[in-house]
Amino acid sequence: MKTLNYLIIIIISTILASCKDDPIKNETGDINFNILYNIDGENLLLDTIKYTNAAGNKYSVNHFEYYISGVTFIKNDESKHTSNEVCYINIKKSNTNVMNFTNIPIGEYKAVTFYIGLDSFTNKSNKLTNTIENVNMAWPDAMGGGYHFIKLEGYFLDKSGTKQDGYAMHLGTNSNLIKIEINHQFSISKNTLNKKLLLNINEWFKNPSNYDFDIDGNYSMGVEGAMSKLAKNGTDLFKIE
Amino acid sequence: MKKNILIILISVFVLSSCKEDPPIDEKLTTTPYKIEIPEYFPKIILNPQNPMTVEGFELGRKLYYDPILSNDGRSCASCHDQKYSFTTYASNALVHVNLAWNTNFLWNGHVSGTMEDIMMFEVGDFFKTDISKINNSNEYRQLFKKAYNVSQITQKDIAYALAQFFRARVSYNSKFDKFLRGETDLTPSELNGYILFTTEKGDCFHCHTLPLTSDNQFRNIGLDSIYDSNNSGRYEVTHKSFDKGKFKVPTLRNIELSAPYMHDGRFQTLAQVIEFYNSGVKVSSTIDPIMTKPGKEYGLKLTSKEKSDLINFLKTFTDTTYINNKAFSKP
Repeated sequence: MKTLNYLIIIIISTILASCKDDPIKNETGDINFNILYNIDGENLLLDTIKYTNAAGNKYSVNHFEYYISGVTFIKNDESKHTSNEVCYINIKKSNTNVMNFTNIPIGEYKAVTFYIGLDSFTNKSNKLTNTIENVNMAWPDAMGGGYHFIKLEGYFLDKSGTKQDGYAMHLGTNSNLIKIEINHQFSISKNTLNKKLLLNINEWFKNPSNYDFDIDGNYSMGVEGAMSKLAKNGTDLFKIE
Repeated sequence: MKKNILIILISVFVLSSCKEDPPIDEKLTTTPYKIEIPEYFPKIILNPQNPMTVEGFELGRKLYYDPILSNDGRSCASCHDQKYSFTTYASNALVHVNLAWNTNFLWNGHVSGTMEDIMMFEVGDFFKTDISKINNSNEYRQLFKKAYNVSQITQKDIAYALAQFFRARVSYNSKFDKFLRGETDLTPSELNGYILFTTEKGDCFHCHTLPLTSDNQFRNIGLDSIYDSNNSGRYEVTHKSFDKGKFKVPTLRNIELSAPYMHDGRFQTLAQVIEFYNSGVKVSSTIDPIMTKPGKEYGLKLTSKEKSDLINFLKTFTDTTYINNKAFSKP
Protein backbone atom coordinates (compact mmCIF):
# COMPACT_ATOMS: atom_id res chain seq x y z
CA MET A 1 0.00 0.00 0.00
CA LYS A 2 2.85 2.29 0.93
CA THR A 3 4.47 1.60 -2.40
CA LEU A 4 1.26 2.46 -4.21
CA ASN A 5 0.97 5.74 -2.30
CA TYR A 6 4.52 6.66 -3.18
CA LEU A 7 3.84 5.82 -6.80
CA ILE A 8 0.74 8.02 -6.84
CA ILE A 9 2.64 10.92 -5.25
CA ILE A 10 5.46 10.60 -7.78
CA ILE A 11 3.03 10.47 -10.73
CA ILE A 12 1.06 13.50 -9.49
CA SER A 13 4.26 15.43 -8.82
CA THR A 14 5.53 14.63 -12.30
CA ILE A 15 2.26 15.73 -13.89
CA LEU A 16 2.22 18.95 -11.87
CA ALA A 17 5.84 19.71 -12.67
CA SER A 18 5.33 19.15 -16.36
CA CYS A 19 2.22 21.36 -16.38
CA LYS A 20 3.86 24.17 -14.48
CA ASP A 21 3.98 27.38 -16.48
CA ASP A 22 7.38 28.55 -17.54
CA PRO A 23 7.16 32.13 -16.29
CA ILE A 24 9.80 33.43 -18.67
CA LYS A 25 8.28 31.90 -21.77
CA ASN A 26 4.72 32.93 -21.00
CA GLU A 27 5.36 36.47 -19.86
CA THR A 28 8.02 37.61 -22.26
CA GLY A 29 8.48 38.10 -25.95
CA ASP A 30 11.19 38.86 -28.49
CA ILE A 31 11.94 41.76 -30.80
CA ASN A 32 14.18 41.90 -33.86
CA PHE A 33 15.62 45.12 -35.21
CA ASN A 34 16.72 45.10 -38.82
CA ILE A 35 19.07 48.06 -39.34
CA LEU A 36 18.66 49.80 -42.70
CA TYR A 37 20.69 52.76 -43.92
CA ASN A 38 19.57 55.84 -45.81
CA ILE A 39 20.69 59.33 -46.74
CA ASP A 40 17.83 61.70 -45.96
CA GLY A 41 15.33 59.00 -46.93
CA GLU A 42 17.17 57.62 -49.97
CA ASN A 43 18.43 54.06 -49.58
CA LEU A 44 22.20 54.10 -49.12
CA LEU A 45 24.34 52.77 -51.95
CA LEU A 46 27.80 51.96 -50.60
CA ASP A 47 31.10 52.91 -52.27
CA THR A 48 29.65 55.68 -54.45
CA ILE A 49 30.33 59.41 -54.17
CA LYS A 50 26.78 60.60 -54.74
CA TYR A 51 25.55 62.01 -51.44
CA THR A 52 25.76 65.57 -50.19
CA ASN A 53 25.86 66.53 -46.54
CA ALA A 54 24.48 69.73 -45.04
CA ALA A 55 27.84 71.47 -45.40
CA GLY A 56 27.87 70.71 -49.13
CA ASN A 57 30.50 67.94 -49.13
CA LYS A 58 29.78 65.34 -51.78
CA TYR A 59 30.72 62.01 -50.24
CA SER A 60 30.54 58.23 -50.19
CA VAL A 61 30.23 55.66 -47.41
CA ASN A 62 32.76 52.85 -47.80
CA HIS A 63 33.11 51.57 -44.28
CA PHE A 64 30.96 51.83 -41.17
CA GLU A 65 31.29 49.75 -38.04
CA TYR A 66 30.03 50.61 -34.58
CA TYR A 67 28.63 49.35 -31.29
CA ILE A 68 25.09 49.54 -29.96
CA SER A 69 24.69 48.77 -26.26
CA GLY A 70 22.47 49.41 -23.26
CA VAL A 71 19.27 48.85 -25.24
CA THR A 72 16.38 49.73 -22.93
CA PHE A 73 12.68 49.18 -23.59
CA ILE A 74 10.39 51.61 -21.74
CA LYS A 75 6.80 50.61 -21.02
CA ASN A 76 3.86 52.99 -20.96
CA ASP A 77 3.91 52.68 -17.15
CA GLU A 78 7.57 53.86 -17.16
CA SER A 79 8.94 50.44 -16.11
CA LYS A 80 12.10 49.50 -17.99
CA HIS A 81 13.82 46.42 -19.35
CA THR A 82 17.52 46.77 -20.24
CA SER A 83 19.49 44.27 -22.30
CA ASN A 84 23.09 43.44 -21.40
CA GLU A 85 23.91 42.76 -25.05
CA VAL A 86 26.73 44.63 -26.76
CA CYS A 87 26.06 44.58 -30.50
CA TYR A 88 28.95 44.97 -32.94
CA ILE A 89 27.60 46.17 -36.27
CA ASN A 90 29.38 46.36 -39.60
CA ILE A 91 27.45 47.83 -42.51
CA LYS A 92 29.07 45.34 -44.91
CA LYS A 93 28.34 42.25 -42.80
CA SER A 94 24.61 41.70 -43.14
CA ASN A 95 24.33 39.28 -40.22
CA THR A 96 25.52 41.99 -37.82
CA ASN A 97 22.74 44.32 -38.92
CA VAL A 98 20.02 42.28 -37.26
CA MET A 99 19.73 42.71 -33.50
CA ASN A 100 17.61 40.19 -31.62
CA PHE A 101 16.44 40.84 -28.06
CA THR A 102 14.70 38.09 -26.12
CA ASN A 103 12.83 37.69 -22.84
CA ILE A 104 11.32 41.18 -22.89
CA PRO A 105 8.29 41.44 -20.57
CA ILE A 106 5.03 41.39 -22.48
CA GLY A 107 3.20 44.70 -22.57
CA GLU A 108 2.74 48.07 -24.19
CA TYR A 109 5.89 50.11 -24.80
CA LYS A 110 6.35 53.75 -25.67
CA ALA A 111 10.09 54.15 -26.23
CA VAL A 112 13.47 52.54 -26.84
CA THR A 113 16.78 54.02 -25.74
CA PHE A 114 20.32 52.82 -26.37
CA TYR A 115 23.90 53.95 -26.70
CA ILE A 116 26.04 54.23 -29.78
CA GLY A 117 29.23 53.08 -28.14
CA LEU A 118 29.91 51.51 -24.78
CA ASP A 119 29.12 52.79 -21.31
CA SER A 120 32.02 53.67 -19.02
CA PHE A 121 31.84 50.30 -17.26
CA THR A 122 32.35 48.42 -20.54
CA ASN A 123 34.56 50.93 -22.33
CA LYS A 124 37.79 49.59 -20.90
CA SER A 125 40.63 47.87 -22.74
CA ASN A 126 40.12 44.13 -23.18
CA LYS A 127 36.70 44.27 -21.48
CA LEU A 128 34.92 42.79 -24.49
CA THR A 129 35.50 39.25 -25.70
CA ASN A 130 38.67 39.10 -27.80
CA THR A 131 37.10 38.67 -31.22
CA ILE A 132 38.89 39.96 -34.30
CA GLU A 133 36.23 42.65 -34.63
CA ASN A 134 36.61 43.85 -31.05
CA VAL A 135 40.40 43.81 -31.26
CA ASN A 136 40.25 45.93 -34.42
CA MET A 137 37.96 48.41 -32.65
CA ALA A 138 40.37 48.89 -29.73
CA TRP A 139 41.15 52.46 -28.65
CA PRO A 140 44.81 52.48 -27.59
CA ASP A 141 45.65 52.73 -23.89
CA ALA A 142 47.96 55.62 -24.66
CA MET A 143 44.86 57.54 -25.83
CA GLY A 144 42.66 56.55 -22.92
CA GLY A 145 41.89 52.89 -23.68
CA GLY A 146 38.58 51.22 -24.40
CA TYR A 147 37.12 50.92 -27.89
CA HIS A 148 36.18 52.95 -30.93
CA PHE A 149 32.44 53.63 -30.72
CA ILE A 150 32.23 54.18 -34.46
CA LYS A 151 34.45 54.02 -37.51
CA LEU A 152 32.73 55.75 -40.44
CA GLU A 153 34.95 56.08 -43.50
CA GLY A 154 34.69 57.01 -47.15
CA TYR A 155 35.69 59.58 -49.74
CA PHE A 156 34.60 63.13 -50.50
CA LEU A 157 35.14 65.79 -53.13
CA ASP A 158 36.33 69.24 -52.24
CA LYS A 159 33.93 72.13 -52.86
CA SER A 160 35.25 72.64 -56.39
CA GLY A 161 34.38 69.02 -57.11
CA THR A 162 37.78 68.20 -58.52
CA LYS A 163 39.91 66.85 -55.69
CA GLN A 164 38.97 63.56 -54.00
CA ASP A 165 40.14 62.80 -50.50
CA GLY A 166 39.29 60.26 -47.84
CA TYR A 167 37.56 60.84 -44.53
CA ALA A 168 37.65 58.81 -41.30
CA MET A 169 35.14 59.74 -38.63
CA HIS A 170 36.25 57.84 -35.56
CA LEU A 171 34.57 58.34 -32.22
CA GLY A 172 35.49 57.11 -28.78
CA THR A 173 36.14 58.00 -25.10
CA ASN A 174 33.43 58.13 -22.46
CA SER A 175 32.57 61.79 -22.92
CA ASN A 176 31.47 61.08 -26.51
CA LEU A 177 29.03 58.28 -25.74
CA ILE A 178 25.85 58.91 -27.70
CA LYS A 179 22.47 58.27 -26.12
CA ILE A 180 19.66 57.57 -28.56
CA GLU A 181 16.06 58.03 -27.44
CA ILE A 182 13.30 56.99 -29.81
CA ASN A 183 9.65 57.46 -28.94
CA HIS A 184 7.72 54.70 -30.61
CA GLN A 185 4.58 52.86 -29.54
CA PHE A 186 4.73 49.08 -29.82
CA SER A 187 3.51 45.91 -28.14
CA ILE A 188 5.59 42.98 -26.99
CA SER A 189 3.64 39.76 -27.10
CA LYS A 190 4.45 36.08 -27.30
CA ASN A 191 5.02 36.50 -31.02
CA THR A 192 8.36 37.90 -32.16
CA LEU A 193 8.05 41.53 -33.20
CA ASN A 194 10.08 42.63 -36.22
CA LYS A 195 10.98 46.29 -36.52
CA LYS A 196 13.10 48.34 -38.90
CA LEU A 197 15.73 50.59 -37.36
CA LEU A 198 16.43 53.27 -39.93
CA LEU A 199 19.78 55.09 -39.77
CA ASN A 200 20.22 58.31 -41.73
CA ILE A 201 23.96 58.73 -42.32
CA ASN A 202 23.55 62.42 -43.12
CA GLU A 203 22.49 63.07 -39.54
CA TRP A 204 26.13 62.62 -38.52
CA PHE A 205 26.89 65.82 -40.35
CA LYS A 206 24.04 68.13 -39.21
CA ASN A 207 21.74 69.05 -36.36
CA PRO A 208 22.73 70.79 -34.24
CA SER A 209 25.99 71.64 -36.08
CA ASN A 210 27.06 71.09 -39.65
CA TYR A 211 30.21 69.00 -40.01
CA ASP A 212 32.28 70.18 -42.97
CA PHE A 213 35.16 67.92 -44.04
CA ASP A 214 36.96 70.95 -45.45
CA ILE A 215 36.70 72.94 -42.22
CA ASP A 216 36.29 70.43 -39.38
CA GLY A 217 38.77 67.99 -40.87
CA ASN A 218 38.65 64.65 -42.64
CA TYR A 219 39.79 62.83 -39.52
CA SER A 220 38.30 63.00 -36.05
CA MET A 221 40.13 60.63 -33.71
CA GLY A 222 41.90 62.51 -30.97
CA VAL A 223 40.42 65.81 -32.21
CA GLU A 224 38.06 66.58 -29.34
CA GLY A 225 36.16 69.35 -31.14
CA ALA A 226 35.44 67.12 -34.15
CA MET A 227 34.45 64.13 -32.00
CA SER A 228 32.19 66.26 -29.81
CA LYS A 229 30.42 67.67 -32.85
CA LEU A 230 29.83 64.20 -34.28
CA ALA A 231 28.61 62.87 -30.91
CA LYS A 232 26.06 65.67 -30.57
CA ASN A 233 24.89 65.25 -34.16
CA GLY A 234 24.55 61.50 -33.66
CA THR A 235 21.62 61.66 -31.26
CA ASP A 236 19.10 61.97 -34.15
CA LEU A 237 20.44 59.21 -36.37
CA PHE A 238 17.72 56.62 -35.87
CA LYS A 239 14.04 56.11 -36.46
CA ILE A 240 11.94 53.00 -35.85
CA GLU A 241 9.44 51.79 -38.42
CA MET B 1 -4.14 -6.19 -28.75
CA LYS B 2 -1.30 -8.62 -29.46
CA LYS B 3 -1.57 -7.69 -33.12
CA ASN B 4 -1.07 -4.01 -32.25
CA ILE B 5 2.02 -4.76 -30.19
CA LEU B 6 3.40 -6.76 -33.05
CA ILE B 7 2.84 -3.85 -35.46
CA ILE B 8 4.58 -1.45 -33.08
CA LEU B 9 7.53 -3.80 -32.68
CA ILE B 10 7.85 -4.25 -36.44
CA SER B 11 7.63 -0.47 -36.96
CA VAL B 12 10.34 0.17 -34.40
CA PHE B 13 12.52 -2.46 -36.05
CA VAL B 14 11.94 -1.00 -39.52
CA LEU B 15 12.62 2.55 -38.34
CA SER B 16 15.77 1.58 -36.52
CA SER B 17 17.01 -0.36 -39.50
CA CYS B 18 16.50 2.73 -41.69
CA LYS B 19 18.80 4.73 -39.46
CA GLU B 20 21.92 5.91 -41.28
CA ASP B 21 25.01 3.85 -40.77
CA PRO B 22 27.69 5.66 -38.81
CA PRO B 23 30.50 7.09 -40.96
CA ILE B 24 33.12 4.57 -41.87
CA ASP B 25 35.87 6.01 -39.76
CA GLU B 26 36.64 3.12 -37.50
CA LYS B 27 40.14 3.06 -38.92
CA LEU B 28 40.63 6.82 -38.49
CA THR B 29 42.21 7.18 -35.09
CA THR B 30 43.70 10.65 -35.11
CA THR B 31 45.10 12.66 -32.23
CA PRO B 32 43.69 16.15 -31.64
CA TYR B 33 46.23 18.97 -32.14
CA LYS B 34 45.88 21.91 -29.79
CA ILE B 35 47.09 25.31 -30.97
CA GLU B 36 48.47 27.27 -28.04
CA ILE B 37 47.57 30.97 -28.05
CA PRO B 38 47.75 33.59 -25.32
CA GLU B 39 44.51 34.93 -23.87
CA TYR B 40 45.04 38.42 -25.30
CA PHE B 41 44.92 37.07 -28.86
CA PRO B 42 41.55 37.02 -30.62
CA LYS B 43 39.73 33.73 -30.83
CA ILE B 44 41.41 31.66 -33.51
CA ILE B 45 39.50 30.83 -36.71
CA LEU B 46 39.21 27.05 -36.98
CA ASN B 47 37.40 25.05 -39.64
CA PRO B 48 35.08 22.34 -38.29
CA GLN B 49 35.35 20.63 -41.68
CA ASN B 50 39.09 20.23 -41.09
CA PRO B 51 39.67 19.64 -37.39
CA MET B 52 43.26 20.00 -36.25
CA THR B 53 45.00 16.67 -35.73
CA VAL B 54 48.62 15.73 -35.14
CA GLU B 55 48.46 13.56 -38.25
CA GLY B 56 47.04 16.39 -40.40
CA PHE B 57 49.54 18.92 -39.08
CA GLU B 58 52.52 16.62 -39.66
CA LEU B 59 51.31 15.74 -43.14
CA GLY B 60 50.92 19.43 -43.98
CA ARG B 61 54.40 20.09 -42.62
CA LYS B 62 55.90 17.35 -44.80
CA LEU B 63 54.12 18.68 -47.89
CA TYR B 64 55.27 22.25 -47.15
CA TYR B 65 58.89 21.21 -47.47
CA ASP B 66 58.42 18.76 -50.35
CA PRO B 67 59.03 19.86 -53.97
CA ILE B 68 56.55 17.18 -54.99
CA LEU B 69 53.94 19.94 -54.83
CA SER B 70 55.42 21.75 -57.82
CA ASN B 71 56.55 20.78 -61.27
CA ASP B 72 59.76 22.80 -61.18
CA GLY B 73 61.58 21.59 -58.07
CA ARG B 74 60.22 24.26 -55.73
CA SER B 75 58.47 23.66 -52.44
CA CYS B 76 56.62 26.18 -50.27
CA ALA B 77 59.78 26.50 -48.22
CA SER B 78 61.75 27.64 -51.27
CA CYS B 79 60.23 31.09 -50.87
CA HIS B 80 59.26 30.74 -47.21
CA ASP B 81 62.34 30.09 -45.10
CA GLN B 82 61.71 29.67 -41.37
CA LYS B 83 64.71 31.73 -40.31
CA TYR B 84 63.18 34.79 -42.00
CA SER B 85 59.74 34.14 -40.51
CA PHE B 86 58.89 32.03 -43.54
CA THR B 87 59.79 34.42 -46.33
CA THR B 88 62.99 35.10 -48.28
CA TYR B 89 64.62 38.32 -49.40
CA ALA B 90 64.59 37.22 -53.04
CA SER B 91 60.92 36.27 -53.10
CA ASN B 92 59.59 39.15 -50.95
CA ALA B 93 56.72 36.76 -50.28
CA LEU B 94 54.38 37.55 -47.41
CA VAL B 95 55.54 35.93 -44.18
CA HIS B 96 53.77 32.86 -42.87
CA VAL B 97 52.97 33.81 -39.33
CA ASN B 98 49.66 34.00 -37.46
CA LEU B 99 47.77 33.42 -40.70
CA ALA B 100 45.06 31.57 -38.79
CA TRP B 101 43.27 34.88 -38.21
CA ASN B 102 43.34 35.94 -41.86
CA THR B 103 40.41 35.91 -44.22
CA ASN B 104 42.11 37.84 -47.05
CA PHE B 105 45.21 36.32 -48.62
CA LEU B 106 47.99 37.54 -50.93
CA TRP B 107 48.95 41.19 -51.39
CA ASN B 108 45.86 42.07 -53.41
CA GLY B 109 43.47 39.67 -51.68
CA HIS B 110 43.20 37.51 -54.75
CA VAL B 111 41.83 34.78 -52.49
CA SER B 112 39.40 35.43 -49.64
CA GLY B 113 37.83 32.92 -47.30
CA THR B 114 39.29 30.16 -45.19
CA MET B 115 42.79 28.76 -44.92
CA GLU B 116 41.50 25.80 -46.89
CA ASP B 117 40.43 28.15 -49.71
CA ILE B 118 43.87 29.73 -50.06
CA MET B 119 45.50 26.29 -49.96
CA MET B 120 43.18 25.06 -52.72
CA PHE B 121 44.49 28.01 -54.75
CA GLU B 122 48.12 27.26 -53.92
CA VAL B 123 47.83 23.58 -54.85
CA GLY B 124 45.59 23.99 -57.90
CA ASP B 125 46.52 27.37 -59.37
CA PHE B 126 49.95 28.32 -58.04
CA PHE B 127 51.79 25.00 -58.00
CA LYS B 128 49.45 23.19 -60.38
CA THR B 129 50.33 20.12 -58.37
CA ASP B 130 50.39 16.83 -60.24
CA ILE B 131 48.14 14.90 -57.86
CA SER B 132 49.10 11.58 -59.47
CA LYS B 133 52.68 11.98 -58.21
CA ILE B 134 51.37 12.09 -54.65
CA ASN B 135 48.98 9.21 -55.25
CA ASN B 136 51.88 7.19 -56.61
CA SER B 137 53.83 7.63 -53.37
CA ASN B 138 53.33 4.78 -50.92
CA GLU B 139 54.41 7.00 -48.06
CA TYR B 140 51.91 9.75 -48.88
CA ARG B 141 49.12 7.21 -49.44
CA GLN B 142 49.74 5.88 -45.94
CA LEU B 143 49.98 9.33 -44.39
CA PHE B 144 46.76 10.55 -46.03
CA LYS B 145 45.05 7.34 -44.99
CA LYS B 146 46.10 8.01 -41.40
CA ALA B 147 45.18 11.68 -41.41
CA TYR B 148 42.04 11.71 -43.55
CA ASN B 149 41.14 8.07 -44.11
CA VAL B 150 41.28 8.45 -47.89
CA SER B 151 42.64 5.98 -50.39
CA GLN B 152 42.54 8.28 -53.40
CA ILE B 153 44.25 11.58 -52.58
CA THR B 154 42.62 14.69 -54.03
CA GLN B 155 43.55 18.36 -54.34
CA LYS B 156 41.24 19.01 -51.42
CA ASP B 157 43.04 16.51 -49.19
CA ILE B 158 46.39 18.13 -49.94
CA ALA B 159 45.01 21.61 -49.35
CA TYR B 160 43.43 20.56 -46.06
CA ALA B 161 46.66 19.07 -44.75
CA LEU B 162 48.61 22.19 -45.73
CA ALA B 163 45.94 24.35 -44.10
CA GLN B 164 46.57 22.59 -40.80
CA PHE B 165 50.28 23.37 -40.91
CA PHE B 166 49.59 27.01 -41.83
CA ARG B 167 46.96 27.44 -39.14
CA ALA B 168 49.18 26.03 -36.41
CA ARG B 169 52.09 28.42 -36.93
CA VAL B 170 51.44 31.02 -34.27
CA SER B 171 54.01 33.51 -33.01
CA TYR B 172 53.38 34.75 -29.48
CA ASN B 173 56.77 34.81 -27.76
CA SER B 174 58.27 38.06 -28.98
CA LYS B 175 59.58 40.63 -26.52
CA PHE B 176 56.35 42.56 -27.09
CA ASP B 177 54.30 39.51 -26.07
CA LYS B 178 56.41 39.08 -22.96
CA PHE B 179 55.84 42.76 -22.20
CA LEU B 180 52.07 42.29 -22.57
CA ARG B 181 52.23 39.30 -20.25
CA GLY B 182 54.22 41.28 -17.69
CA GLU B 183 57.27 39.06 -18.09
CA THR B 184 59.64 41.82 -19.18
CA ASP B 185 59.92 45.58 -19.50
CA LEU B 186 60.54 47.56 -22.66
CA THR B 187 63.55 49.85 -22.78
CA PRO B 188 62.75 53.59 -22.62
CA SER B 189 63.33 53.82 -26.38
CA GLU B 190 61.08 50.82 -27.13
CA LEU B 191 58.43 52.19 -24.81
CA ASN B 192 58.49 55.55 -26.54
CA GLY B 193 58.21 53.71 -29.87
CA TYR B 194 55.20 51.83 -28.49
CA ILE B 195 53.55 55.13 -27.56
CA LEU B 196 54.29 56.56 -31.00
CA PHE B 197 52.85 53.39 -32.56
CA THR B 198 49.61 53.60 -30.59
CA THR B 199 48.91 57.33 -30.67
CA GLU B 200 48.06 59.84 -33.37
CA LYS B 201 51.71 60.89 -33.64
CA GLY B 202 52.73 57.71 -35.43
CA ASP B 203 49.24 56.30 -35.96
CA CYS B 204 50.41 52.81 -36.88
CA PHE B 205 47.74 51.13 -34.73
CA HIS B 206 44.74 51.76 -36.97
CA CYS B 207 45.97 49.36 -39.64
CA HIS B 208 48.51 47.34 -37.66
CA THR B 209 46.02 46.57 -34.91
CA LEU B 210 47.52 44.93 -31.86
CA PRO B 211 48.26 42.25 -30.95
CA LEU B 212 48.16 40.62 -34.39
CA THR B 213 49.52 43.78 -36.07
CA SER B 214 47.21 43.61 -39.09
CA ASP B 215 43.53 44.46 -39.48
CA ASN B 216 43.34 42.15 -42.49
CA GLN B 217 42.10 45.03 -44.66
CA PHE B 218 43.39 46.74 -47.80
CA ARG B 219 44.86 50.24 -47.65
CA ASN B 220 46.55 52.73 -49.93
CA ILE B 221 49.38 54.19 -47.86
CA GLY B 222 50.66 56.50 -50.58
CA LEU B 223 53.55 54.57 -52.07
CA ASP B 224 52.56 55.82 -55.53
CA SER B 225 50.08 58.24 -57.02
CA ILE B 226 49.91 56.87 -60.57
CA TYR B 227 48.72 53.31 -61.00
CA ASP B 228 49.22 50.58 -63.57
CA SER B 229 48.92 46.80 -63.47
CA ASN B 230 52.00 46.55 -61.24
CA ASN B 231 50.82 48.74 -58.41
CA SER B 232 47.03 48.81 -58.59
CA GLY B 233 46.77 46.17 -55.89
CA ARG B 234 43.25 45.39 -54.76
CA TYR B 235 41.85 47.07 -57.90
CA GLU B 236 43.15 44.13 -59.95
CA VAL B 237 40.71 41.92 -58.06
CA THR B 238 37.65 44.14 -57.58
CA HIS B 239 38.01 46.60 -60.51
CA LYS B 240 36.52 49.25 -58.23
CA SER B 241 38.18 52.63 -58.64
CA PHE B 242 38.25 53.09 -54.85
CA ASP B 243 40.64 50.13 -54.59
CA LYS B 244 43.45 51.53 -56.73
CA GLY B 245 46.76 51.33 -54.94
CA LYS B 246 45.39 49.38 -52.00
CA PHE B 247 47.29 46.39 -50.66
CA LYS B 248 46.75 44.04 -47.78
CA VAL B 249 48.01 45.37 -44.46
CA PRO B 250 50.89 43.00 -43.68
CA THR B 251 51.66 41.68 -40.23
CA LEU B 252 54.57 43.33 -38.45
CA ARG B 253 55.39 40.18 -36.53
CA ASN B 254 59.08 39.41 -37.17
CA ILE B 255 59.30 42.50 -39.36
CA GLU B 256 62.98 42.83 -38.46
CA LEU B 257 63.64 39.51 -40.21
CA SER B 258 61.49 39.88 -43.28
CA ALA B 259 63.09 42.53 -45.49
CA PRO B 260 62.56 43.83 -48.11
CA TYR B 261 59.38 45.77 -47.41
CA MET B 262 56.16 46.71 -49.21
CA HIS B 263 54.43 44.68 -51.93
CA ASP B 264 57.25 45.31 -54.39
CA GLY B 265 60.12 45.17 -51.92
CA ARG B 266 61.12 48.76 -52.66
CA PHE B 267 62.54 49.37 -49.18
CA GLN B 268 65.45 47.35 -47.87
CA THR B 269 65.55 48.62 -44.31
CA LEU B 270 63.12 49.60 -41.57
CA ALA B 271 64.75 53.03 -41.53
CA GLN B 272 63.71 53.50 -45.16
CA VAL B 273 60.17 52.41 -44.32
CA ILE B 274 59.89 54.88 -41.45
CA GLU B 275 61.36 57.66 -43.57
CA PHE B 276 58.72 56.94 -46.21
CA TYR B 277 55.96 57.47 -43.63
CA ASN B 278 57.82 60.49 -42.33
CA SER B 279 58.31 62.35 -45.57
CA GLY B 280 57.69 60.24 -48.66
CA VAL B 281 53.94 59.72 -48.86
CA LYS B 282 52.40 60.47 -52.26
CA VAL B 283 48.82 61.71 -52.27
CA SER B 284 46.23 60.31 -54.66
CA SER B 285 42.45 60.02 -54.71
CA THR B 286 42.37 56.64 -52.95
CA ILE B 287 44.93 57.27 -50.26
CA ASP B 288 43.84 56.27 -46.79
CA PRO B 289 42.55 59.29 -44.84
CA ILE B 290 44.86 58.39 -41.98
CA MET B 291 47.76 59.37 -44.22
CA THR B 292 46.45 62.87 -44.93
CA LYS B 293 44.77 63.85 -41.69
CA PRO B 294 45.07 67.47 -40.62
CA GLY B 295 48.61 68.27 -39.55
CA LYS B 296 50.03 65.14 -41.19
CA GLU B 297 49.50 66.07 -44.83
CA TYR B 298 53.25 66.14 -45.35
CA GLY B 299 54.22 63.11 -43.27
CA LEU B 300 54.63 62.24 -39.63
CA LYS B 301 57.27 64.85 -38.89
CA LEU B 302 59.14 62.59 -36.47
CA THR B 303 62.49 63.56 -34.97
CA SER B 304 65.53 61.35 -35.50
CA LYS B 305 65.13 60.00 -31.99
CA GLU B 306 61.44 59.25 -32.55
CA LYS B 307 62.24 57.39 -35.76
CA SER B 308 64.86 55.38 -33.94
CA ASP B 309 62.43 54.65 -31.06
CA LEU B 310 59.80 53.44 -33.49
CA ILE B 311 62.27 51.07 -35.15
CA ASN B 312 63.37 49.76 -31.77
CA PHE B 313 59.76 49.08 -30.91
CA LEU B 314 59.17 47.28 -34.22
CA LYS B 315 62.07 45.00 -33.37
CA THR B 316 60.23 43.87 -30.24
CA PHE B 317 57.98 41.87 -32.59
CA THR B 318 60.89 39.53 -33.34
CA ASP B 319 60.13 36.05 -32.05
CA THR B 320 63.22 33.84 -32.06
CA THR B 321 61.22 31.02 -30.46
CA TYR B 322 59.07 30.95 -33.58
CA ILE B 323 61.87 30.91 -36.12
CA ASN B 324 63.72 28.21 -34.17
CA ASN B 325 60.69 26.07 -33.36
CA LYS B 326 61.65 22.59 -34.55
CA ALA B 327 58.00 21.60 -34.76
CA PHE B 328 57.75 23.93 -37.77
CA SER B 329 61.06 22.93 -39.35
CA LYS B 330 61.71 20.55 -42.22
CA PRO B 331 60.81 17.06 -40.96
